[in-house]
Amino acid sequence: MTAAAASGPPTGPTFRRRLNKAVPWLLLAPGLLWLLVFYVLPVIQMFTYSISTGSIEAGFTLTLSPDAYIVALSKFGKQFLNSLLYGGAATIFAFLIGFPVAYSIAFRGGRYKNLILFLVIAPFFTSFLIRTISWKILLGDEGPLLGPLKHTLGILPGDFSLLGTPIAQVAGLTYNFLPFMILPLYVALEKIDPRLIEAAADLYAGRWSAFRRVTFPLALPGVFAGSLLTFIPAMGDYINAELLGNPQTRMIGNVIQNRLLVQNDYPVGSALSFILMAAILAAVAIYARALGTEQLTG
Amino acid sequence: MTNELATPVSRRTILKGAALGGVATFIAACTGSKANPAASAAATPAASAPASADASAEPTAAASQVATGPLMFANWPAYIDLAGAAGDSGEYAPGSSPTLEEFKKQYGVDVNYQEKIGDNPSFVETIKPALVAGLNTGWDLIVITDWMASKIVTSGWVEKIDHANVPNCTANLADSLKNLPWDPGNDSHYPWQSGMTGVGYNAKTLTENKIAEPTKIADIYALPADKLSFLSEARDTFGLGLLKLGIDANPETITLDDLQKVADDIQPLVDKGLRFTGNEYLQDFAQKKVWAAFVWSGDLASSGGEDDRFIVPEEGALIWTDNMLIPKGAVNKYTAELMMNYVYDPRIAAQIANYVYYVSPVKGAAEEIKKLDPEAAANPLLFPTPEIVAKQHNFQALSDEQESKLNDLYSTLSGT
Amino acid sequence: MATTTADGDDLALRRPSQPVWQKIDRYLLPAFTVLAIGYLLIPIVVMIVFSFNKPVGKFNYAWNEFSIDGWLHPFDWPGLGSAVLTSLGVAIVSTIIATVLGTMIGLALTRYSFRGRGLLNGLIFLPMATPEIVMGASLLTLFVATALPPIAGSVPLLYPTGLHTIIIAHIMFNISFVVVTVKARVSGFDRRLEEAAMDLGADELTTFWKVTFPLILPGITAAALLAFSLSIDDFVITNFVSGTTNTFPIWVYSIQRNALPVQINVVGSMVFLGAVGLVLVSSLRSGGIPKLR
Repeated sequence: MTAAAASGPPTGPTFRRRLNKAVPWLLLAPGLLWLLVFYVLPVIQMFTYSISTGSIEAGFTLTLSPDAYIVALSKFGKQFLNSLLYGGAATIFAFLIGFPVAYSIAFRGGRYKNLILFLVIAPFFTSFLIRTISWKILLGDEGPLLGPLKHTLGILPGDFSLLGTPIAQVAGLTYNFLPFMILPLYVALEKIDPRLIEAAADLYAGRWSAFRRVTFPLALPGVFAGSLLTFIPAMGDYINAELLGNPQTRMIGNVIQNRLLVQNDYPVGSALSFILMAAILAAVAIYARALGTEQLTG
Repeated sequence: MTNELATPVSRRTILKGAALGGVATFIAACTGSKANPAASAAATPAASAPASADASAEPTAAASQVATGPLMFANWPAYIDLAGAAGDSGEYAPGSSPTLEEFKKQYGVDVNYQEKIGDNPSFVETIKPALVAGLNTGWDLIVITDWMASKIVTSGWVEKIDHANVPNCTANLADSLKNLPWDPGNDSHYPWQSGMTGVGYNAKTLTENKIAEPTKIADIYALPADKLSFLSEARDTFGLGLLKLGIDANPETITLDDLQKVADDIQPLVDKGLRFTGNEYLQDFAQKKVWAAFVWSGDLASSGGEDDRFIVPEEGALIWTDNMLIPKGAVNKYTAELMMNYVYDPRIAAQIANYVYYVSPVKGAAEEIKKLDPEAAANPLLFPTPEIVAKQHNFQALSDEQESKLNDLYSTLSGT
Repeated sequence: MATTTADGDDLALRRPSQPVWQKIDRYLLPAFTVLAIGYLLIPIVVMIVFSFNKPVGKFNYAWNEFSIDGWLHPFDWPGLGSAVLTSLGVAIVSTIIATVLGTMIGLALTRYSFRGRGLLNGLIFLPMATPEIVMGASLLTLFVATALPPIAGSVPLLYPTGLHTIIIAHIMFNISFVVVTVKARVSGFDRRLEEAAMDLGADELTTFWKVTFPLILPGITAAALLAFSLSIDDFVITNFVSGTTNTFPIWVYSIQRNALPVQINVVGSMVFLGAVGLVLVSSLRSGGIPKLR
């Protein structure tokens, strides 16, 4: 910072250092600001509801009482468990189906990679309701799948039903979150330099060995991202339980929906939401640690 | 077996037994000024042209009111006549409603009709913060079911209707819908359509499974629970549950214990696989997943399969009404009143009822609809006979305490 | 001298390639992928098939008879056309903005170390974890509050709610998804490529556009696709903040209470086929997408 440089644009090592320090913040600022105003602020208000009493009509008084949380934890343990169970199952199935698909597209897709990838996500441009109704038509008691299985082939008993069961619910969850698993996996797999795998083969690694020790570890950021993009929203889902499940399979999302919309019970509804968010954050932290912190921080 | 004859007959029961049968043909199609509420019978279509001229004349009585627009009108879907057929005839654009188009032409004002209401809480929750804060919600006219409408009106979140602007409504409102406890003078609402909740079943499936067709609510309780569905509208399910237990489904007489009894009665079914649905029961009927259910009359009347039947059970059925309200702060209040007045013209009411297939609250609609579709006129689901009307119960407006208990019991049953 | 592989196996025995894995790789994997994609597309096929149905009554649940009525009158329902256009418009705008903002955050989080980075990494997951109804209800309360004192409408476009508030909300919930997807691509990025470019005389901006950006583009594209599909199908949050504007998901959710018209299938089919057609055309015209290496 010499006076001699004052006439032209600022240069010099100190300025560069300052600029480099500022770059991450410059990159973060717009998005962060957006989230701050339109997410953090409203959610903080929701949090205050959870420690208040009252309603939208009557107004809230901040009593700082944990009653809502106590009710939330004591009454709805089963639904929390359901969310964990079904969300987890859906994530695992989505991974089992999604990983081979992402691998195929990344390594075998050739010039049609983008097209096939698009085919994976395009179904989700149409309405969720249509997809679910279509599945209900397909999986109906006397529909094209169960009908023949029950009557022509006689494999299943006549009163077997898929709809309204946890099977249908998990299938619905898996189906609806599959692209969320496939896309990040693809993105990470596609980045892998095939010459690394060739090198492994040159070093006499078998195919499975090469996969296990080269490909998969390199794909871990994608696995991490994909599982989180699937598991996190699946935990909070309510619509699959509503349309495909039964009263025993309700998830915490259904409870929150009921509390806020029907019962207008904002304190308990918000308390449930914050417990859910805390649980998810904890799960993410554990998962990140298990995979290695490099995945979390890139 | 009906109990309501044994209980002291309330004022409401008497009113219910009145003209909802749709026989009051002596009311005019369109009334002229307030001074002449009753005209002669048999309003003809020809009369409606000068009559609408009359209808447009009455607003001028109230000084310098101008119809401003566009009218922001929120309604339930498929709740107004649609122009599929009219579109083919080239008269109206496809997707438009003849009623709305004629209104636009007559008053020279635009109507922004949005089918945004999917269920009451979801919709009202989106306008509640504005109403609480005293801001304009953006809507001029909304259609809300009884129970929610009574809450909105009691909270003072509606504009008062200027009766001078709605002579059709004053004259043609069915008597059974007058003098409701939460709005006796119709200062705040006018009904749009009514509907019934009863028992529906698929006749073919039951025959295939050698089960007699049900005539009572209790009959379907005996079916396999996983072939049954009740309604996710708690009031409807519990109302019919009360009737099944022989309790009069009248909010003014039931106790919290009664509600508990219904929950205890339904719980075993839930344990064995009973589900609570919205109108997915139609799909379930088609796919034989459900053999019988609590259903809404309009659905089966207009779109059930040919084997789907709706019955008014022996114990009784429920009736509910969707009502037009003008939310507080509405910008085009006068236009909203004009619309209310317009749809109470029996010719228009018949036009709407002919498509929607619910129960019209407008006297004279039954006569008008004979010209459009004689079958519809004879359909007891659209124009209930006095016997049916006698069995209708209104289980909508519960007290806060009752509602709270109902919601708690229902959420335990439905697992939320 | 006996050579062994890293696994300790004797080299001589390991040299022939393993046929089992080769078979799996060559046949099973593609077959599985085709089946999986078929599985993803089945409901779409059903949807397209049923768009040619003429339903009995108002609900399109069971096959009745073939008819192209739905395709001849695709927007034959009040408000459907404008709802579809609104949804498309909102999806496009919010996707673009959310992708830009999210990519910037993703880059910052993976390539720079700064105070609070760990915390931010964790907090980015919060919007995904928040139930939509909570985000929707609280956002609406925020918008309403801007119309009251002390702000009293001095910040425009926030109340009354409508198109702009829908876009704002969609950008908000899309950012997290974009960040996570982009990070999966950017993490482990080989900085030496950039250093090589700079050694060859490129300044930082040129390096970014010519080296970094093309390499992370697949991640950004994937994130944009994800954001688009989230936006075009969002119901809960949109329901709260849309005011008197209608979008396609809200319309579908509302309509199924009283009817299930063929038009839903027709519009869904149009959107799907249109999107796929666009990508197909562009990928054929450019002779396939060049591999970005």
